Amino acid sequence: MRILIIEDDKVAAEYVRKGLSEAGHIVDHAPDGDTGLNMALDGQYDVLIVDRMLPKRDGLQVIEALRAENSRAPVLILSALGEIDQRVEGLRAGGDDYLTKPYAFDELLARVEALVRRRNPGAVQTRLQVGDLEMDLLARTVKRAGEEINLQPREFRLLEFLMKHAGQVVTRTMLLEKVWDYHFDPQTNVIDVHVSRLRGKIDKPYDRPMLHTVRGAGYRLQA
Amino acid sequence: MSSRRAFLRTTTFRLTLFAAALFALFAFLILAYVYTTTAGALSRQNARAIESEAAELVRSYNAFGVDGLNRLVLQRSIGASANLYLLVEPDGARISGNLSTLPDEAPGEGLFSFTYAQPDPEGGDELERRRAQGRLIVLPAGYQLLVGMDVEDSARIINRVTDAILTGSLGVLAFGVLLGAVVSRRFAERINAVNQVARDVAAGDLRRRAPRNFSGDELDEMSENLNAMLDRIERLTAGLRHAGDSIAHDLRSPLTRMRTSLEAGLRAVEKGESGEEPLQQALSDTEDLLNTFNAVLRIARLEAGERREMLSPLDPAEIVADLGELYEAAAEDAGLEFTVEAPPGLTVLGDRGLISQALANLLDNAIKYSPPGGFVALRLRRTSTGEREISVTDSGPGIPEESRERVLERFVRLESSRSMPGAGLGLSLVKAVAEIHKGRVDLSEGPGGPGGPGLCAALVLPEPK
Repeated sequence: MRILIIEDDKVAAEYVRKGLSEAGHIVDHAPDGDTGLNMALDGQYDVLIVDRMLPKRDGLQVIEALRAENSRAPVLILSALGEIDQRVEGLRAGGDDYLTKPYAFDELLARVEALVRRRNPGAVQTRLQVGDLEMDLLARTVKRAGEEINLQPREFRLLEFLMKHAGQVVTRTMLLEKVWDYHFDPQTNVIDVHVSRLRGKIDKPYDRPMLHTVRGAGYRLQA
Repeated sequence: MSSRRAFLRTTTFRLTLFAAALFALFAFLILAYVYTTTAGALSRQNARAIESEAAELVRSYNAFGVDGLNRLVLQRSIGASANLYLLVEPDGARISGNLSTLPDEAPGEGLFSFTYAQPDPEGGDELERRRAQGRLIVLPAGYQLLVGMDVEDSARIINRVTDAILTGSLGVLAFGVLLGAVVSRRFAERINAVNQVARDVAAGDLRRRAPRNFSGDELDEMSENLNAMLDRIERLTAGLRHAGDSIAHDLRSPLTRMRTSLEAGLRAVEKGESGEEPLQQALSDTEDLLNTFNAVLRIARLEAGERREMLSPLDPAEIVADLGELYEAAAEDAGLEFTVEAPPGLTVLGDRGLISQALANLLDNAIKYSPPGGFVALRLRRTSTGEREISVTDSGPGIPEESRERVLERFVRLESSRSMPGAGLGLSLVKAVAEIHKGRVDLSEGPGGPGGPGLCAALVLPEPK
């Protein structure tokens, strides 16, 4: 996967570049808004990581210019400004996801990989399948190994998100944002409890576990 | 001296001065009108009387000659009267009349004014000069006839009226200026008091407040508004200072811990060990620090009122139900009975994210402090006064009544909770959220449970207008 990171902090950019390379991606780096915009327009990147505060051209302006040029590459905005209104501003400018600095690298990696998946949805999906786990989005039913599993509405949405990002790490913050639409971190391990209940329904009765805990990062659903 | 000059410059004084001048001018005009109508009427009446008297005498001369005229003049001159007569020969010798000589004043064609001497009516030796008006008629044979009228008395009256008019106008002016001075001085003193307070505050004394007399007039209202503004400024700066102090104090220990962990990690690596454990510890300390830092920033932003414009009408039942759904599993996992009551149909003017976060903080606390076997109740209700109360009741140790006010402040943690994780910011954030919604936080004793008296923490939001 080709990734462009537009970030003026050289140390942070190098750290992210190294981490993403180790995860198997090809990473380019642009130190300012103008260079970043030119590189993004020339190169075929799968994901752009854009810092909000950049020299020469502000991050949001870069994204707006890209969208004006019909570039559809998914954009992850990085910013030290984390309040809801600033987040909304970023998404309105054309960003696809928003991550507040300072962030854990695992969180960044999970979100970048989730963005690429989102870019290729193909036709509107009505069925999801991971291994022997099947989900029918129209009938709202879930089966594993042909057996129907009864899920609460929220458990259904949680599993849907996990299945759409099968094979990838999803973090607790991502689940809280995308499944529950909350943008704060509860002190109680609320997400863990929900995941463990879901695991009790889709994994426990079967031989092979699919829903794995990734230590220090989050969860991964894998066939 | 400068204060007097400053006083003369005040708007009020200038306004009163202007009003007084206008008033005096108006009084002068009215009195002038009275003068012309009365004095004018009087002199016109005199002129008519002189004309008719003269006409009668001329008729008598035409009919009976100079002797007839003489008789009539003698007749008229007898007795006290305001009418004056003098008939003289063509050579100027007096024939008859109650005047001794023709006046020195040059007689004109028509009516003219003159003075004449008359013995003092009080009986003194002095002669009294009196004013008169009259007409000199030259008869065909060269005889001259003066017909006049004494106007001394009416002239005196008119003089007195004129004097009254002038002194009256001046009096009005003086009174107006004096009144203006008194009123504007009072006004200026009150304004000065407010200005002095503003200067003191600008100089750094934030505790000063503008004086009030509670009359409800516009100056009093201005003082009230100014004081409300100063209260807010004082609260904000106090909050800022407090936040600064707290950050310095409460972030120092986790930073110290983090540094120790990092050093331990470095030492471990130098010795060829993995160093994973201290580094993990440092990472988790960083996480705590960031959470605290974010909470402080968020509270500060809320207290500055930056998000007030984001409030919109919404149903609190949905917020409560969503959050109940999120926390139910965790509460049950902690061995607590969890109940949610969310009657629909109420509205609040609010921000879903903020209210959710405030309630999440309350629920975090409730679950953290209630021992297994207890309960946590999340409940929305409309109070008897129409407010929307969202409460979280737990069966934990509760908060002693005397500490309830204090725990809403930043970084305040009770001794009994020191062993629990947290930075003492949860309730301050709830309070900040309540305030941005123009609501409040109520802390009261719960119904009691296995962990103690329990706590009922309520976010009370006003009824939307």
